[in-house]
Amino acid sequence: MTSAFCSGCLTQLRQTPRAILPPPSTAVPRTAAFHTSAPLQKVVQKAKASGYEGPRYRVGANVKIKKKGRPQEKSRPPPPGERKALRKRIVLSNPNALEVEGMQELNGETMVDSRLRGSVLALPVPMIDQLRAVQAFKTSQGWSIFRRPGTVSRRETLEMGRLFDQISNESAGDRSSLKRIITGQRKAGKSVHLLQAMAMGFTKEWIVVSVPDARDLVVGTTSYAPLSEAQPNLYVQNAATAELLSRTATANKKVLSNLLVSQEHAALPTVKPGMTLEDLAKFGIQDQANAWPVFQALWAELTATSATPGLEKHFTPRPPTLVTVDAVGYWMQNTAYHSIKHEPIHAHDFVFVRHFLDLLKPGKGKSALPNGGALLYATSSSNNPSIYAFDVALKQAAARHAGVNPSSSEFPLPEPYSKPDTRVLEALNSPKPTVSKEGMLNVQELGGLTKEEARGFLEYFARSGLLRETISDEWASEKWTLAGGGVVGELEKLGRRLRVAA
Amino acid sequence: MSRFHIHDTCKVGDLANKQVLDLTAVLSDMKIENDLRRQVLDNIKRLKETGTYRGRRHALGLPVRGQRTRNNNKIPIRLNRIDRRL
Repeated sequence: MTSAFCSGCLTQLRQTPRAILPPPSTAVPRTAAFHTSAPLQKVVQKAKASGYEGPRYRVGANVKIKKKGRPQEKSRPPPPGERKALRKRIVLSNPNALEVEGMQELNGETMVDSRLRGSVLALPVPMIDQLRAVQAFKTSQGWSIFRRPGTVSRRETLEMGRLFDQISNESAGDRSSLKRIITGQRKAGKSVHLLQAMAMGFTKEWIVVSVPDARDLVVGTTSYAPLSEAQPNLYVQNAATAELLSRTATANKKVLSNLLVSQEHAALPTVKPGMTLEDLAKFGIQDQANAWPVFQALWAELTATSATPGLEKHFTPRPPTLVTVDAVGYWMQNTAYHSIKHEPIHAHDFVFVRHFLDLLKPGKGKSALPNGGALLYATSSSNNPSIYAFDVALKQAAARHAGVNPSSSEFPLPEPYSKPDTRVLEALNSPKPTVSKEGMLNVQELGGLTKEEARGFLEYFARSGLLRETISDEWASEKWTLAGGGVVGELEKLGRRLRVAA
Repeated sequence: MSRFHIHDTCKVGDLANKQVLDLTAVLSDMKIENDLRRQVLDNIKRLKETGTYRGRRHALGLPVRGQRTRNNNKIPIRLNRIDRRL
């Protein structure tokens, strides 16, 4: 409590009579006019008592600025799995897009018709479920902007269609096979090329086995276990194999339900000769521990050219098989899995991966695909590990196919001291097959569309109502250039972005 | 985890029978939970019984490892008792 008087002076001694004093104000107590310290102090003290109390003990006197955070969400987060479902959702139809008049569907005739080059072929409606089952559609592809899913028929598509047609027309038991690794720059249409292959496979009633993303097998998200006590360095992925069986069984239901078990399977006592291959696959789906033996049995059935003696009545000639693998680059490195000594496991030590990579090599004595068919493995450019050995191996495979002698100086070799992964080089080291009908491993590079194909593709956008533009040769050529020489994904971007030009 | 071939995103429900058995076998050999707690208490009791400085500090509810006691010795106050519980 401060005194109302200044202690340094003696004004209090000279008090004026009370009657003359003005009435005391409530805000500032009146004292001598020339002393200001005391009343001011009092006012400050009052403020102190009511609000701010000065810095606390051992607390920094920093200026605290209240940050405006994000507004608190009141609603609950979505239930588990819903976000993932939304992320993985594939929309194949846009009811706002116009229906394209006179659009042809993909079928046996249109897939080889070179007059349709550059036009977009719709996927038949019953096939869409099959394609969904093999997970041929990707979320990054623009299916959701058109009325119905369709793919452009380009030169490579027609060429593949002709090969598929030719393989199907050959007599059973003497069919040729095709082995290709598809490369190309980003958005060049590699995955869609695989989708077109699968669609053609379904059209021709082949068996389609598909690995939609090779990455899933190596990033450590599915269970793994040693194959057996005898082979502790080989690993099996039962959950992933069961998924593969499930995809194959669902998509090829029609074909598999007409084929019967005609081989002996010693490892699977429950499998009886005469049951359908669809039921065989279901064994592996239901009992995941048996998924790998069941897959082996199914593969043995599909590649059988004749029945085991005594079971001939169950045997019918097997159709050709199409195997597609996307983003195959992930299979060329160490995985996220660890061995019992906590050393990383190489992807080629997984029997699943090994099975599909071994198919690239020529079969011993008979073709790797004795009933014919195609192996189409695509690399990915948007999500791809950079593996030097794989790049070299692809160059080597292309050179081998071109007939370059591996001992000649033109044969591409890894740079000295670059330490390439020899297992990768070895996996793609596929010499010329001895069986005449078996195809040799080739590398196919997908580039851009030609100008005519690009024009046809952009016309499809215009006819779907997405592009309001008069499409002339000149205009299409400009867009072709803007799309890096007709890269189909870039063309799609241009097609969906352009709006009315006033 | 690689010892039992358990992958990164594995959940308990995904474990195969063999993995569960192996894990149980290893865990049964390990001193865990109440056994381990009892062992820690036994160690403290031994210190007290032999009359060591550390034992005394444990019993007095004071820090054992040479910390100051002017302030901030909240954890010893809370935990160190004559008959300590964990």
